[in-house]
Amino acid sequence: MPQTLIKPNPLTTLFNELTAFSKETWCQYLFDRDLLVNKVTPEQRTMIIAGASQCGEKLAATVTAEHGPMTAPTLAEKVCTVEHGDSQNISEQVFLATFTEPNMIKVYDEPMRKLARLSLPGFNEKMIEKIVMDHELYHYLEGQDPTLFTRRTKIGLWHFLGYEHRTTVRAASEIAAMTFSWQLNKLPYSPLVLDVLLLQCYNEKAVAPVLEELRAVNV
Amino acid sequence: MTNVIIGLLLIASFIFMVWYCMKGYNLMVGFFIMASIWVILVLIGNAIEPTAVLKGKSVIDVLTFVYADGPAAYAQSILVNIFFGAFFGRVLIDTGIAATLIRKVVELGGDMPRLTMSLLCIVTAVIFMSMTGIGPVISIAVIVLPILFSLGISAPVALFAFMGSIMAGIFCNTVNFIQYHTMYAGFVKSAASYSYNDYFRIGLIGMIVGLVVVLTIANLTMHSGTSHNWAVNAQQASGKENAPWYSWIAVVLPVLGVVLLKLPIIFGFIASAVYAMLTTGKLRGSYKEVTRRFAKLFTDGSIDVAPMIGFLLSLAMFNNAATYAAPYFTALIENIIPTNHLVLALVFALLVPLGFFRGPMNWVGSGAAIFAVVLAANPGIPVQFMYPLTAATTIFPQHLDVTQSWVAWGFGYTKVASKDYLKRSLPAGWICGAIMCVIIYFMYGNL
Repeated sequence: MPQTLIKPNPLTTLFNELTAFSKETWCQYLFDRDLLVNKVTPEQRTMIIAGASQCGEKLAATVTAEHGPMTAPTLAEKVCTVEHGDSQNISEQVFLATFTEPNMIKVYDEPMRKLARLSLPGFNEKMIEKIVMDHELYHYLEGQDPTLFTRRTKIGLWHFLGYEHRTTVRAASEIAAMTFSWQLNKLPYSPLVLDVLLLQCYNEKAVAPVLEELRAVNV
Repeated sequence: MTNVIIGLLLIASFIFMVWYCMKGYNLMVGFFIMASIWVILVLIGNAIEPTAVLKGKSVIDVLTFVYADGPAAYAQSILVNIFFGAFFGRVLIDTGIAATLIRKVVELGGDMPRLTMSLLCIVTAVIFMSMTGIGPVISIAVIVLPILFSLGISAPVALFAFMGSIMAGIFCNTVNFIQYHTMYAGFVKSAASYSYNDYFRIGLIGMIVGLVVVLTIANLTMHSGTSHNWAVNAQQASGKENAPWYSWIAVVLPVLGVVLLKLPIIFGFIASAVYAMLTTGKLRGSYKEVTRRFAKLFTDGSIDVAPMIGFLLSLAMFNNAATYAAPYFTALIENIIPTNHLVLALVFALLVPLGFFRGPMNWVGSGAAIFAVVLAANPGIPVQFMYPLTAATTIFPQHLDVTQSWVAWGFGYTKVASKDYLKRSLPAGWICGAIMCVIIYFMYGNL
């Protein structure tokens, strides 16, 4: 009787590898994409990653405690204006959602449909939308509270006479939003797996370098 | 009567050209067709009622002047400058100097979208005082635009601010000066002595005015709050090697060479390119390797401007055809052409929008014929006053226009709808042009 070789589905292999990356790895991945990455010292980087991560988790716990079983997307729809667009792809960038202060969330449906069509376990359109909305909800809540770590933590860029030009680091806010969504949805993996899966949907060739980058920083 | 009818037909062809431009058809072929239509109309008009400009000229003389002398004269004075300008642009890209400057500017502004956008626009304008061609524009755009998007700036605002800052830089660009000035001097021989040095002061003022207007409009039309995008970028994470600080000056060396040392511009481009390559280690290697590198940069630069060259050559045919068409425009508009400097400046300010869509106030459009008539009606007008007026109605609208090759590329890259862009670019072009017309009057109107 001939033996049948069952080849593993490459998409499942990719998903399994992505879900195995640690939170620290995804934080480093986000930080490496920040425009100010070269201006942050290694000590500051460690401090910002730890603080932002804690900030996102703490806020998720507060939201759960205050609003009980109400899901974050329901809360987001209650406090924000949520708009749906089909897609916004600019050159090599694919947009999942945008948040504009004070309370405008725009979610793009086409990328979410494409992600859902990958038919990965537990990855239906509703779940994907929930992850995305929770991420954007963090940005709304961040805008309401200037005492949050991601709002008050700044780095110095340059000095002139007595003036020091200080700025927030965008990656901090994104790390906090990621952990916020991660915590609220009790996901067993980072919401940022969506990033790589989106590349798989829109620009398959770009997956390998990103995967290499993640493997290199995996800790 | 014949002159009036031919004049009206020429105006009808203008309108056809505007429609042609708006449809996005090929401009090189378009201007060749326009030149041919004008030659036919001029020959018909001359056969019915001879004009002074065609006195003693055969059909072959006319064809030679339009289709041979036009491009040939253009080649002598402009092509070389454009080729070397494009070569220099390639050097700034390949040495990493342009990218480094942009990264440094972002690190200066930080996570403050308005400040960082303003700084990026200023450095872009400075870069385009020397650089030219669609290749360098794209090379800079693929660095600057994703940065603006990641700061939460919407695509229409980002595209407009970037294209606007190029427009501002071009107002003081050496290559563009030579290009338009050659056309001007074609109609007024005595203007040939007017140099970039004479123009530099007003060029710099125009650049500043352009930047202020563009940044004001960009700031007024962007969201007031912070924006965050969850977007996936297929590009690799940043962290590329920076060019050393002492190489950065190369960006403005050609302009400084011309203004301070009175160097010829081509030598300025070559010397600056050598400096840029020397300071970034691109002259290392064997003689063969280095010369091959130079040849490649020149070739890449030439490819960058190749579509523009084709267009400029057909435009040169059209410009020469416009010389013969001038009497017919004179018949129509001679009596309404102002000769008072203040009125001229105000009329130019009012008509700046006609510089869009390669219109009749644009040197690289159908403006050559109108400017020929204006210059003929004002024979002794100082070039210091008149040339910058024509530059203002040309450069501001043209470099924000949808018919500009890199603007058209930008639409495809950013997926911005043309109406979202035009509602910012049209007022910006007009305001910049109008302000400059007033400034030019106050600076040179009494000469």
